[in-house]
Amino acid sequence: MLTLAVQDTGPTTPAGEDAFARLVERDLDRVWRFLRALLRDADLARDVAHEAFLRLRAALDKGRARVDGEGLPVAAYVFATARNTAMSHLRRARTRRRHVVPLDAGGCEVRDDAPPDRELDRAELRAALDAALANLDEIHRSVFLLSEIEGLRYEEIAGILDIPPGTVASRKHHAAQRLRRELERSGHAL
Amino acid sequence: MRCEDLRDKLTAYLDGELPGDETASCDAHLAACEACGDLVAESWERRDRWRATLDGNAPEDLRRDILAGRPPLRTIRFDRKHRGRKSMWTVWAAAAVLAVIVLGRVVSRTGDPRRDPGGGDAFARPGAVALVVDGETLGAFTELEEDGLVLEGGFL
Repeated sequence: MLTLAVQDTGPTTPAGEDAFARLVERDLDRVWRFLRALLRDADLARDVAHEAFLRLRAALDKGRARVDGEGLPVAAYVFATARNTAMSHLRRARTRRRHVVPLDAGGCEVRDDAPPDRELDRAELRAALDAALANLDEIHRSVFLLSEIEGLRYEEIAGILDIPPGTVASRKHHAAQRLRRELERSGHAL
Repeated sequence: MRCEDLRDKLTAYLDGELPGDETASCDAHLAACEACGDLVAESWERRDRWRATLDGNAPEDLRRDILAGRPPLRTIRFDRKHRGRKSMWTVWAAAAVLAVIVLGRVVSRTGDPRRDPGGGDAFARPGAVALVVDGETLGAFTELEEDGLVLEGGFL
């Protein structure tokens, strides 16, 4: 895929306040991981994460974000912003009939400290898990990623997805069962 | 507690979502039941592998752009039928699209770009726009001249 991008490379505003810098440090990796797995498109995940953090910055500046004791937005608020931004992108993409490319290894930064054979192993498993996740609907996928991978509480997830906590539990159970079955079928039993 | 009861509550137990008394019942059962203990250990192991599989860090340049408050990339994607070396026509097409975008922005914001090249629009500021193809910065807009926009870079 050839990508043409236009970016303002000139200086804009100075680096954000200390709170925003700490928020980026704390949550950017997890939000990006969540979006990459949710959207199954590393380029799109990047765009959405970027926009989501700019929204978070605006919310912090205007005092609209629900914050914790350290003055940072709570995880539920951060992930809700990320997911809402993703859903807006998907709606716009459907309108434009945007072509979504499958995730490839190029979208992921490989850690230097992992041995090559483990990386290969992980890449294969990653592709299988990605394919299995693709067969879940968006709500089941979000529940699985937010709970199993990011470790959020059911109550937080319920707030993000606007569903009852009991529904989070049942959807998590079904999502995990279905993923296990699909991975076993593709020879990647975990 | 029976094994079936524990299996029904397993997901919530692993997620730490059970009330204290139910957690204590599960712990007591697990201390006595080897089969359920194996099941829980296997579940923890599966979770660790899932997490390791989906692990990864956000790209460093994304982090820099966010911290600098830069707007997201305006991205146009082209699908190529064949992987390999970029064909020149695609790069020229990309450059043409870039020129249209930049000129469109400049003209729409400043009226006549030659009169107000600094014009308050980031796109009208020399050095403010770069052409990035496949993640590689190939050139940059440097100035506005009488006959149009000057793009400099190895692709021209």
